[in-house]
Amino acid sequence: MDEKRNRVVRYIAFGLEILIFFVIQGVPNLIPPILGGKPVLLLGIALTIACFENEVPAMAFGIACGAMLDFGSHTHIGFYTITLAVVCFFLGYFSENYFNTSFLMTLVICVIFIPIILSLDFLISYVMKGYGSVGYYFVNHILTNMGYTFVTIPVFYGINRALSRGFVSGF
Amino acid sequence: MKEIFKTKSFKTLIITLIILIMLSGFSAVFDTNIISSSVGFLTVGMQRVSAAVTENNTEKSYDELLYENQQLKKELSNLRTQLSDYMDVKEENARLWKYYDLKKKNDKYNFVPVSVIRRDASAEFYSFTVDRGSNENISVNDPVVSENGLVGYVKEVSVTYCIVTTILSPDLSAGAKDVISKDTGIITGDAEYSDKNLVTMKKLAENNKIKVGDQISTTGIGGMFPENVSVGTVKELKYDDFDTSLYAVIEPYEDIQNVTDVVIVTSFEGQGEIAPAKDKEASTKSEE
Repeated sequence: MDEKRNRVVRYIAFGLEILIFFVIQGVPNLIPPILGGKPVLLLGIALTIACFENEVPAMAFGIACGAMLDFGSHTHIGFYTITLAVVCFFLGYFSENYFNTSFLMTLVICVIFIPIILSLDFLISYVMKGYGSVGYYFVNHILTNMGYTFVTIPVFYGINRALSRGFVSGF
Repeated sequence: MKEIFKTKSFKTLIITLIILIMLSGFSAVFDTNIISSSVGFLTVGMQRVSAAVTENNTEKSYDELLYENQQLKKELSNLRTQLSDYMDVKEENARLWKYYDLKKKNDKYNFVPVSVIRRDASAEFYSFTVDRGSNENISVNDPVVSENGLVGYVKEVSVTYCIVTTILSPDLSAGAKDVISKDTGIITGDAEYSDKNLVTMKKLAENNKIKVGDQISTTGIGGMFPENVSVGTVKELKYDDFDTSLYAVIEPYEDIQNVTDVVIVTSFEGQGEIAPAKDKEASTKSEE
């Protein structure tokens, strides 16, 4: 009974975290750009939550973050929703069955998946639309977005670890 | 490893993906994103509040706000209802004053003042979300201007918010002219220039007389933007690397990357017409 209650409270906490950072991410002129890049906060949140949850909740939070990212990027395709559903599902499964979530492991996962997801988005929403200056845009926006997003990972790892461990042990 | 494909969870993933792909397909066909629209509908209120908070923070210090807050609390006990109405009217008035000149110059414009409530890292070419939607008669392709000049156009409209594509985007093409030499061209964005808050003016005639420092405004041709809306000044003249055609780099009057208050022109003279009103009159006269 306690375990079920803790799980519900944890999910609500994750939901609130997603909502708060979704709002923060979009507030005009709040997060200063560095070298033309801004962090894609919800991407980091989705990946770190997936490292602490099993596959179905990880997928659900991936979909929530993805839907909000799609709203923010003004696209119709639902790219982030679908991609994060798949990535978070498998991350959740593997973190549950094959490896113990640690800070280093989370960083490795983010180093792999942040560039893949942002590059795919760039390919679909920029290159395939036929915009010019592809190299310039990739270096000055996508690479800097990747770096800036990666820098925020320790923060989300800390928050989600605290939420996850806290509610498992009942604080 | 292969066990994952036999689990109940994997079936859940497949079913979820099918639903998401169907929703995406539906969105693409009907030009509306159900998921994004729902997210936008649910969060637009929070976004308005947070945008307003940061806007205030840039103007007042914590101590000033605290003092103001204490004063307001005292007043609030006596004038709760009146003060609330007064603040609303005052804010609206301040916003409208900005556009008084614009309205005076263009009395046939109908416009809605709006505030920028969201700018995302993943949104390209500094597109942004504003706090008014179709319930204020805003529709897709309505021009967006500020007191300084052209900002962009409405790309997508929901009931309570809409998304604006800026003039920094290559998706936007607007007929433009040099106010002095009367040379015409097409204003459009470019990835390399957008970061520096610059746009390009292409399709210039070979014998054009455009000079650095000239003012550029819209022609109204195409019926998407009103005529004579200021765009910016010519910063430099350059040749295209690929086809060696001449183009002008324009510095917009408005800081598109940081603008917070704009107006959406919901109707104007010549809207939807291929040629602007004056050209139309001229062509009618020449036909006579």
